[in-house]
Amino acid sequence: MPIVSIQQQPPQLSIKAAYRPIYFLVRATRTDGAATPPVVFCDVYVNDVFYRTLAKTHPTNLNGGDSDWAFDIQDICQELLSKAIGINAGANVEKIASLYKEITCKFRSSGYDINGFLLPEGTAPVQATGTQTAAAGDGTSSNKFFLLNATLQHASRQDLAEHLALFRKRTWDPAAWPLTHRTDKYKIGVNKSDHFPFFYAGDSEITNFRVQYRLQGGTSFGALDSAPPPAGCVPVSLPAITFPAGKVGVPYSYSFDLQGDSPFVLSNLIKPSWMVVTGPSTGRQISFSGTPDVSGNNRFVSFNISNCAGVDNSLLYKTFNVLPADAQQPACAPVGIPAANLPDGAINSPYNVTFDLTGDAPFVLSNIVKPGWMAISISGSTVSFTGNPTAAASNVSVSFTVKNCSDSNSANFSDSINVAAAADHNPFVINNSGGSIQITSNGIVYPSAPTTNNFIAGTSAGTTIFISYGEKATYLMEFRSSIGSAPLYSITVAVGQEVFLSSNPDNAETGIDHINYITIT
Amino acid sequence: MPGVYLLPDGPKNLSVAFPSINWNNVAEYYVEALAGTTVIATTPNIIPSRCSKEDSVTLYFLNYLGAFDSVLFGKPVKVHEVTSNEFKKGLSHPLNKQDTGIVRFNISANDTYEARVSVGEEKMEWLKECLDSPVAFIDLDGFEGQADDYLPVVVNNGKTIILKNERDFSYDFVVQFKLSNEYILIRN
Repeated sequence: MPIVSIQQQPPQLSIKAAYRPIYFLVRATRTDGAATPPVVFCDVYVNDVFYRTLAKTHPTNLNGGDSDWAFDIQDICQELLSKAIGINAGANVEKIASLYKEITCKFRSSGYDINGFLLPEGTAPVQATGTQTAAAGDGTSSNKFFLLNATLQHASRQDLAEHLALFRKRTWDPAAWPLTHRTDKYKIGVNKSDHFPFFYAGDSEITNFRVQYRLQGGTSFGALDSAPPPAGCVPVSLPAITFPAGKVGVPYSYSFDLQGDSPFVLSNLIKPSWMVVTGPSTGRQISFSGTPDVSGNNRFVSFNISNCAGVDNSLLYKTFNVLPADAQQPACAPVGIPAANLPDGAINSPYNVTFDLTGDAPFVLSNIVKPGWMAISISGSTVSFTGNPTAAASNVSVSFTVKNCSDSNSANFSDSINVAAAADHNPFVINNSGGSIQITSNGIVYPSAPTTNNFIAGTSAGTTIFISYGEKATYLMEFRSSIGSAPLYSITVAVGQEVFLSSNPDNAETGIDHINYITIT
Repeated sequence: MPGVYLLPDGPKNLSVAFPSINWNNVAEYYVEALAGTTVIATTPNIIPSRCSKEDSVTLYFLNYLGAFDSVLFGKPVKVHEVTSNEFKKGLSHPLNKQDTGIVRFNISANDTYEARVSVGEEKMEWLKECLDSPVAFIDLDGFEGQADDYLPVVVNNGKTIILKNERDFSYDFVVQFKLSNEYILIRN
């Protein structure tokens, strides 16, 4: 094993300051088993994407049968992070991507081939370019740690987490730390904006905030909670994005779908002057079009996106090249699409279909037509159709145009699919022993199957009603006296659970009179 | 989810989310970040200061931990400083009343602020970060339909006493800063 062990490294999921040594000590042998490899590589991965490689040709220590190699990656870490200030008068909790990264290193040894040339161990990773995403490589992986844009010096506690824990005031989650040395009785003007920065390493979503305030002359604190984001709001996220290269005088076209709950709001848009950006105000697709008028490398597009989950300052920043008008296209295998044969879907059954394009990558999709619940994305040469069908339909069109490295090379895909109603999974059972109760669920009157009327049979004890609704783990049953009235009683019912109603539903197990209406959501 | 979060804790921010609170009547407050009903993080106690916009300046500075803190100062002294060069040139014939013999060029102008605030000794170690900060901002009030924003400034070099050997634990914290973009002036 060319990499014998990692002798020193940051602890797993620890937090590290970028302006301090971030040190690794690796024990390695040459790939043929000799003690000293000619080079040892340290591949730095940022948020699980390869970023840069450090290489060393001299070990720090020679042992009997192997050698030790030291790496300090603080320079790389510092260039990854940058400052960010909260929106003036911003009223939402902001998440700042530029102040934090997750770092992993992979170490590779090396040896010589039969001609005496240096031969690195395993597959080397490939850096991302303006048109290609990064490709991961092989190697022995280190612990993952959280990197912050911080320095720590002249403090008695030299571990960043221990140091920051000293500045917590009142209630804190153990996985959260303040990113400030502010003291109590911190003054802010009544008409001034301010933000309190903190780092959170846990898996919970920060939903909202609470202010605890004491009025002048008062002795106790009142509390008010800000409105949480709408229940179930899925934060915005991005598919894998690669802006294709453009060419002066040739119309440019690229689009992708935002993921998460719409509507989305774009802000801080920066783009070339010739480019027109449309969407996503009317949906989830953003389109980039126009005709480049000047060539150049590393043209860039950047913007922020927010949705119902609040402001996420994760900046989309992508670069691409614009070739001169007389540039010759490289030889390029034409794009090919397999025969259209998309399978049908069903409501609440996740749809996940992929197929591979043929020809030379990169590929760019445009003119996408699809149902609203579906996302179409491309990674490498694989096209993915994903989503969760929300409404039954037939002959729903799915089509797009795909283009690759040559201007004249494009192909069209066109198909249609059907979406069936939700399958009956009988997730739980109401066992009624008498009386008549109307049951509705999200506007659908049950039982629709297997019985045919809208009421639980009132006279025959033991009637079993099967309720089916999607793939939820639990359901909320609310008992009402009439449609639209406030619930008298509610219970949570799990999949597979059997609910018993007593002989007279007016006195069902709730013990409350006049129940003749149940809603299930 | 893991990440660096900025929790709004200024009265200007909070008055958007809590319009029912009269911040002029609040003696102290603190803000908690929530994940559902679980408290994730809590600010220190904050004292709302009732000085008017015109009589104060807030300096937002990049602290040692990569985020921005703010210091509220009293009304600053603002000095407009101009430097330039001159050269002499001959006058043309016949003489023109508007012709210039001494020409001013290479004019550069900037505003320098000097702001001060009285603080206790325990705050001086933290305020040191303000003097060391590579990046700072002051408020830029939005007008002509624009939202409020920040104006970049540069903290000037200087010496500040952060610990005294006297029985006086009140410190006059003074900071000088200038706009980080000089005035762009017309040459002709």
